[in-house]
Amino acid sequence: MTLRPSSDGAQAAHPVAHPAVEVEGLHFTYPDGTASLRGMSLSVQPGEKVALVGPNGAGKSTLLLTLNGILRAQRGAVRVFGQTLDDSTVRAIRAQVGLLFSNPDDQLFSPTVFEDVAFGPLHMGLPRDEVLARSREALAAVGMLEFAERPPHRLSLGQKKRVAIATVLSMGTPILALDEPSANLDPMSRRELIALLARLPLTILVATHDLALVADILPRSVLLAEGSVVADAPTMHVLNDSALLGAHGLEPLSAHGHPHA
Amino acid sequence: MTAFAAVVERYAARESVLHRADARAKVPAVFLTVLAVTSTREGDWLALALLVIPVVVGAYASKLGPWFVLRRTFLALPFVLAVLPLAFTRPGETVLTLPVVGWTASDDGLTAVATILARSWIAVAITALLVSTTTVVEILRALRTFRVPRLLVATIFFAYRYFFVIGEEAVRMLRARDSRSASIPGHRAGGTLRWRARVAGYMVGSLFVRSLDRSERVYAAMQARGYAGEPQFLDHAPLPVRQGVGAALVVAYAVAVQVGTRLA
Repeated sequence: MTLRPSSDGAQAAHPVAHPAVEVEGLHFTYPDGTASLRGMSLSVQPGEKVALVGPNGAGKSTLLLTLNGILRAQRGAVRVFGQTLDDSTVRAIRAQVGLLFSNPDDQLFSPTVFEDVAFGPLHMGLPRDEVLARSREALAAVGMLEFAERPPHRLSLGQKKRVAIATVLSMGTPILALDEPSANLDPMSRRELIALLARLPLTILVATHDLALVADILPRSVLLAEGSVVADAPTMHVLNDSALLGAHGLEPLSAHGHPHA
Repeated sequence: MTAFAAVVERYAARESVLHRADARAKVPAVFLTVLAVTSTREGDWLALALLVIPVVVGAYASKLGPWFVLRRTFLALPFVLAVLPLAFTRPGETVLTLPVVGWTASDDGLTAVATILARSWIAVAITALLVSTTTVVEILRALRTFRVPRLLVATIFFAYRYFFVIGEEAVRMLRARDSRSASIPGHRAGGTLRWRARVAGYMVGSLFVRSLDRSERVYAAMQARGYAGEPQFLDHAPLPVRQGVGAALVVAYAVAVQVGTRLA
């Protein structure tokens, strides 16, 4: 695994003193009036692997969408390596934060797998050779190199999911924000995904209901409910607190004994 | 509701007399009033002024307010351009000449344009009131009550349903592209215009492939729940007499304006 942040990426450009992601007092309300984030605050250090857990509607996906400026919070601030997200920095921040949508069909829009994976690096204006190298490398990392010339909409869901991850990996972002990466995967694909995430040397935020995945590879857990943080602690503390989990619609791992994928 | 739906949905929920009123009263009232409005004679400014009154009353009665209704009517603005040439083509006394091109506008031409604009604006405003206070399903249900052919009603129903399907797919796809549209120091971001145009072309292509796929799933789900060629609606309670009378009064007013101004 040689995928790494671009040489001219964030870690070189910004002093290590800054958190990778800093979210401060974020408020977001959808146009129909549904309040999704109500004063969310969170700080993630470079290299940390953090789980965002919580019931549906807790604001996990909304939070991820604000991290690279797809959604803009009405109040509060998002900082990535110390750089505040606004109109002038959003493009630069998208080179720092790679976002994986929960539904891979939302992510893929090109006629072939390879072109989809190459979109990010091409848009960044990288030289052709590097674009090709990165795209191949990313596809190899998710084991989809042999599908490079296929149209994405003909793949199985598990394959689409891996391609979607490759489209983000090829950008070489130092931060990955993943929305439900293991949802709807068969057990084997899910295993492979977990192994891949475990070995990526990046800052990773994962919004998920898959607590077995959380226990496996994400040492820190942030429990969200109704748009704010209700717990932020080492994963084992959060997952062993069955009263806390139960109060927020989650089941302790032992209760179902079997990871729900 | 998705961001797309929030922008596109025309129904604006409020608690008002007009919102509560039955679509079977509102739909024919709007249809007949619009007919009356569009029959206004050219240059009959009094009739036009009198016909604005129900729009203003309706705007307040619906609790939407005149500004809201006015904004909704801007949708019709592009069509306005189509009638402008009339000012220059209708024979009559020349009132102004365009500099440079030298086209002349006649008084009759300008009157015709102004009348058409006013008539269509009032008609659009009345329709905007209807669609802002009535859900699509209610409107379709009313259309079926008045024996509008089921194929036509089903077509409108699907057009509406799939408009959202396509719109939501488009929003997702644009988000996906934006999310990966990054720039890094020292490189010119965005690629060539040609490349961007090609990507946009692919996106339109996949948009239709995917919307088709999704609309087939939507249709299959409808069939699975018993859809057999016609949207089924819950049975109607009888139309309250007062609402029928109210609707008739609105239409009668519009007709009276037309008749009255012609006799006067």
